[in-house]
Amino acid sequence: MFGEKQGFLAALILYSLAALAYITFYISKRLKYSAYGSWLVRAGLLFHTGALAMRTVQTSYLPLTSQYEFATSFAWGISLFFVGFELRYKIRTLGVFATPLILIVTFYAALQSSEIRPLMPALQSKWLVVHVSTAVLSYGSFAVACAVSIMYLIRDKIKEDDFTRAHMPQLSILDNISYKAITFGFFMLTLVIITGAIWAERAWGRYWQWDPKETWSFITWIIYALYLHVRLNRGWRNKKAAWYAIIGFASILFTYIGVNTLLAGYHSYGLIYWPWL
Amino acid sequence: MKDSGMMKKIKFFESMGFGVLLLVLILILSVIGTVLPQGRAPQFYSESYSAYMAQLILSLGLHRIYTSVLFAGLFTALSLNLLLCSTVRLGKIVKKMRNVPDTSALVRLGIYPLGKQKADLNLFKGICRLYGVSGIQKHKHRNGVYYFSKNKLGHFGSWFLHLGIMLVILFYIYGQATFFTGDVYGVPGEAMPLEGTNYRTEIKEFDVQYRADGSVSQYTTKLELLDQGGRKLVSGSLNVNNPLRYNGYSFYQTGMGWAADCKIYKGAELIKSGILYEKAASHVPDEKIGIALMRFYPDFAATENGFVTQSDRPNNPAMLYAVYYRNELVKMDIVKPGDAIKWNQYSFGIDEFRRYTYLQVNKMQGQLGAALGGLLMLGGLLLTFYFKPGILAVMQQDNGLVIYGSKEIAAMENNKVRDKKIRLFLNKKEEGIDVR
Repeated sequence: MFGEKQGFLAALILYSLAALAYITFYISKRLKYSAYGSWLVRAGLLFHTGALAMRTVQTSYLPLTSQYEFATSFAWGISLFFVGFELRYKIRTLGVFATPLILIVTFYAALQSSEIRPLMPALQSKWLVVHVSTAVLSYGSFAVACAVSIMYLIRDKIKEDDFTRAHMPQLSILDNISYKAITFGFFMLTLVIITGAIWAERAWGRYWQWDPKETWSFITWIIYALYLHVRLNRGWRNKKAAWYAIIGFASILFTYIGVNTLLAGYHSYGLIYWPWL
Repeated sequence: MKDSGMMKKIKFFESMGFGVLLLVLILILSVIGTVLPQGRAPQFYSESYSAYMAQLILSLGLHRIYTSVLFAGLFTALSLNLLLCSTVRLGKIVKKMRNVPDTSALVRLGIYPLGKQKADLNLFKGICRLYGVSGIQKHKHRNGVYYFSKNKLGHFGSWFLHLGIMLVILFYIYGQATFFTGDVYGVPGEAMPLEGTNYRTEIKEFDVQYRADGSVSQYTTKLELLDQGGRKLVSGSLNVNNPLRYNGYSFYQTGMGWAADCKIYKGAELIKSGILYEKAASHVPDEKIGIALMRFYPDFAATENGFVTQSDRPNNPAMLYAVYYRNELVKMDIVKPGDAIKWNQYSFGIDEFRRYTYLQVNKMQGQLGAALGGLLMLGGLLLTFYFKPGILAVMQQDNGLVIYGSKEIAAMENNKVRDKKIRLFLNKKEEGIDVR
């Protein structure tokens, strides 16, 4: 029977094929491969949505409560934003840079345990849905900004030819797309932090406790706040802004994966320290 | 000279550069706080780091970074920066909002031939609609030029955002400074004072709800809050994610454990009776005797890896106890509840195991202010990014209809498509077709 696992696997395969098609397009410069990539990602997104829907029906709650569930939802968010941005801006080469990010996060999800566990009391809150789904949208948007920024830096580095002129937008357009994705992501990240604070107050009795996850969300928020300040007031655009968007996304990845893995023992083992200092 | 020095200082404190510097410093300290162990004893740092590093950590308060003077100072300075910046900018924003610029200060967006038709306000409004400048917006007329504006409130976007951040910081600091925390615990029927207040609490019920698969679905406590005279102030149920609130105090379901009735006898004489909690002890100071309930196993099993409990249901209860005399361990064993425990002339009865509930009680002031700050931040961001203000100026000249726009309007997407739409609109108007 075709279930959630099969849907997820189909999405993983389709995303892999899409990445392959986009890379082939970039290397061979044959347009048809970009069309294949585009359709493969859309098909992948369809299966991915189906898999998430099936899991939701099976568990009776949105798939946002475990490492696996958040990772697969995060990948879905990037995929959704990518498809949206591709349709909106008609940039054929965007997939070359965005599909590897989708793949990395989907593979990360595949490495996590997908076992369905009953929802523990601490996670039984309507705020979970708002808090984590806004995180999916925020992270997805930042991922697209990162992909566009990588594209910017490559476009800036390579020699302009007919292919780049036809399929890679002008640098100013790429810069603007990245900015727009960041503004949306930043708004969502602010919403993530505020809804998280409301939930923390209801569950733990304090809306802010400087827990590593909270702190890294705050750090990421500062990073993007600085980006917006220097961009709007000091005219930091183009190359500098592109590098900044990539650093910002690295912080997002650390907040999501790094904090959970490297700082996971914070409470029980007294966290990581460097004795050689 | 003195005034100019003061002005320079104010200018520096309200500058964006200073704000950015503070944000960078807060960011660095926040990162340090997540990698450096927090809240340990000074000895830990002396043993874990070099003498120089340990001294640096302790003197700068990096071991309690989020409550350190340095961290609080940076946030206070950021609040000051935001306050000054907001105050200074307010006048400028209002002026900008009211300002009707000369067309020379705007970007010329296009010239469109009008043919024989004469431009009127309705035609201008039609053009404005194509730029997303709605007809309901106020317009001003000056020197033959009609000015239309949109999203005027958008000028306040970053101002609201900064004000929101400032409120969140100030109310957070206020909340931390006046923070009250305490706890109450007990088995159903037990009453205890809430230390530091004039309230007493009584646990009426404590229930653990299970699902069919055996997992816990919720912990629920029924609590009554009383004043010193025993008058009921509030009573209700609370569970995880759903605290009970009264007069600013919130009661949170944060833990649970096992407890039993404990009786201590000296010969046949009962010398102490009360509730004994898991991982706690019951003492009789005069006799220097005590018993500790080290661990309770609701579903006891002896395995190769030691003693374990197979579930949290009391299917096969057993307990590990320890008897102390003159602060020295004199006896330790695992027995069933109710089994006789004897040491010299003393005997102990531990029975009637049941769950106790543990509630954390917090009172954090300024939450409403911080929430208002959060709302202002969100509103400010929405205005900044999605309700950008813009001015459109339209005038009729000899060569046709001339349209000017502020840089926000000029930067709008699809200006080429809009250009075509304007031509089509004007053609239709000239042909007498009713276009709205």
